[in-house]
Amino acid sequence: MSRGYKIYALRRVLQALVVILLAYVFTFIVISVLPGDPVTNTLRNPQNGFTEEEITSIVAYYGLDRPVYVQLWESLSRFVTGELGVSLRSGRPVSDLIGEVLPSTIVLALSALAVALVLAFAIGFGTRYLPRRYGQGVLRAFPSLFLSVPNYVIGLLLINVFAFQLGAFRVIDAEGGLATLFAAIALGIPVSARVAEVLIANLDHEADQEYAAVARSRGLGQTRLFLRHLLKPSSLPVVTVIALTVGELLGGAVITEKIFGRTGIGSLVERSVTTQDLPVLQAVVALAAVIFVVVNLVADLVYPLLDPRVRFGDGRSDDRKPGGRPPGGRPPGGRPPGDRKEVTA
Amino acid sequence: MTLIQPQPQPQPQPQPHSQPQPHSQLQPQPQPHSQPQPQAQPQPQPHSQPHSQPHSQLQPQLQPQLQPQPHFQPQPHSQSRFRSWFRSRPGLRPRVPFTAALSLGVIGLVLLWSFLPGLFASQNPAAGVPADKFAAPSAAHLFGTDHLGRDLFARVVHGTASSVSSALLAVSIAVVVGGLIGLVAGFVGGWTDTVLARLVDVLLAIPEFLLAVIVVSALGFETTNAAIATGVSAVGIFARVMRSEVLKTRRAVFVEAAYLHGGAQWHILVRHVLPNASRSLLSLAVLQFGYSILLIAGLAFLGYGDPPPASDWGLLISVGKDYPLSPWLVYAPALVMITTVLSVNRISRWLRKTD
Repeated sequence: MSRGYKIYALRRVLQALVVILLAYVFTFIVISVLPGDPVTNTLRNPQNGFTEEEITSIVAYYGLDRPVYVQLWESLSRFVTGELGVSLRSGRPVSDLIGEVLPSTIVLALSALAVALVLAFAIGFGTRYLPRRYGQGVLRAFPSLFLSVPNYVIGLLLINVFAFQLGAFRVIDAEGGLATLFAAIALGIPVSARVAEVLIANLDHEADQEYAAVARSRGLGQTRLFLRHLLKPSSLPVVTVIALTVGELLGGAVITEKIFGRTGIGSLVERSVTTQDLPVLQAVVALAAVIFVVVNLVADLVYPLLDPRVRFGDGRSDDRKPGGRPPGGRPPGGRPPGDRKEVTA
Repeated sequence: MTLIQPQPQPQPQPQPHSQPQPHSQLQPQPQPHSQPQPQAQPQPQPHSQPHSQPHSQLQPQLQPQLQPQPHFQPQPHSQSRFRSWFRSRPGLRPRVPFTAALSLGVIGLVLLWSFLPGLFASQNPAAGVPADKFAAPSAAHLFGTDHLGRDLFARVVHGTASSVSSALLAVSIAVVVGGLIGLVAGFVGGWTDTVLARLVDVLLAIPEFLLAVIVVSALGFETTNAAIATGVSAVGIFARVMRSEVLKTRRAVFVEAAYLHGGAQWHILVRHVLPNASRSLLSLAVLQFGYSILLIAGLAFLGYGDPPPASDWGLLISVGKDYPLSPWLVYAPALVMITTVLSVNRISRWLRKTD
């Protein structure tokens, strides 16, 4: 816990707070300033049969006739105090609505993450263990394949094969254990691609290092080399990638939950979009941004503690490429920056 | 970074003056840090990591390749280099890997489908024969028929144009807007950079799909709007990549040399910074094209695109999922989409390698 780290941590926390507030403002602007105001659109829908005076009074009641910046300021100050407003459709507090469905989504997202990690590490191990000619090429193509298959196709495939043909789980019982597992697989496979890609690149890099050659010359087999030497340095950058996939897990939940008939944040979003329930939509997007920012903040703060190679306090060494090299660490295979001077001098 | 620090000791070693060096003629005293680079031996890249955001949300798979070699011959961004991408570098035999060639073929076919759908699918995509509904794939109906007896192959082929062009629109928005933001942030720097960096942080903090969903629900449910939403959701990534590329190039020695030659800002921007940054932007754009197809199809799947008479791939999958006894209604359009995206990804990887 050096002084440099404390300054770095403080700066990152402040930055995260600013980003969260700005994300809220951004969503607000997108929803309210863009052409096609959903509230008046709904009210003016002939099916709802509101008269002109009624529309004016409803709009005035919700304060929607005031200038945008006044609304924004009020909305933002409510958000800061933790109040998320009231759903336009059900009239219930948005925080209640979100609280009801959040646990289900968290379970889904965490199991999907587990699936993704298991898959990614299995692929990573395979690329080191399998003979170069036969298994490796196929395994190395997996991340690219996984990235090209959208989660709804995987979900529909799983439902068709395992629910309809094999009867492994019932579609009606959406929150059951097996159903959750299959939903997690559908959500996790595209995520695993990102993790696996970084992991494979890191494993390849670490396997070329001198210490790996020494370990091999000591007679270590691939499995031991992988477990004892390569795994740890290669999986550290994965922490950053995992934090980055949070967005994908939350976004992907919209479609996955719809396909598997689960109730969660995703289906709440889908429902609010269909019914143009803006306060709910705004709150969910803000919540997603908060989760994303906080998880990434934690990952960034924990990372230097996990990786002793990271140095702080020397200039710009807190820069980091996600999933790449650790901050401050020397570029692999490159000379340290100071070398060039001696060469030219 | 050490490269741009002025080195205190003068450089007494003889410089190869094979090319006319205007500045060394004007100022005969040794220049601390603008020694002309002999073109034959490029300097190693500065090992600096230009972007200062600790969590940058570049697509992780791009990471290992995101370091283009700044080309040290300050030649204009001309057609010849564009051609050389496809021919391969001088001295090397032009060769396209088999899978990349196959992918190019797939993309060619898809483009043909979108321009001349009638040539490939003779049947009417909108009119069905109710007696033939739910027919399994056969010689008459390559992909089978749907619940109204419409030929699915014809629907997939006729839906190609909309799926592909909307993805193109999305990528164009992302490249233009994101590229501009990144360029300004990286080139102007200072206060502007800080403000733009926070904006990009915000764009990256909101999950991509959710961002697309709120934008499309604000604009209205239409395929064009879904494309715009997808483009907006990708602006952040492009801005960040562009910024880091610009910063990387700006610190390169040859850019500094150009400054000392008296090069104007715009000259350096257009001749040195843009060409260098455009390479990694190109492969990212190709990658994003495939991803946009998936994302727009996802929006169409949820019903945020054009309504059913249209036959976007995502919409076809969405309609097909309601008939689990005819699984080809899902698998056929899905297979076409996956093959397309896989090919696009393969081409993107190939472009990155040939750089």
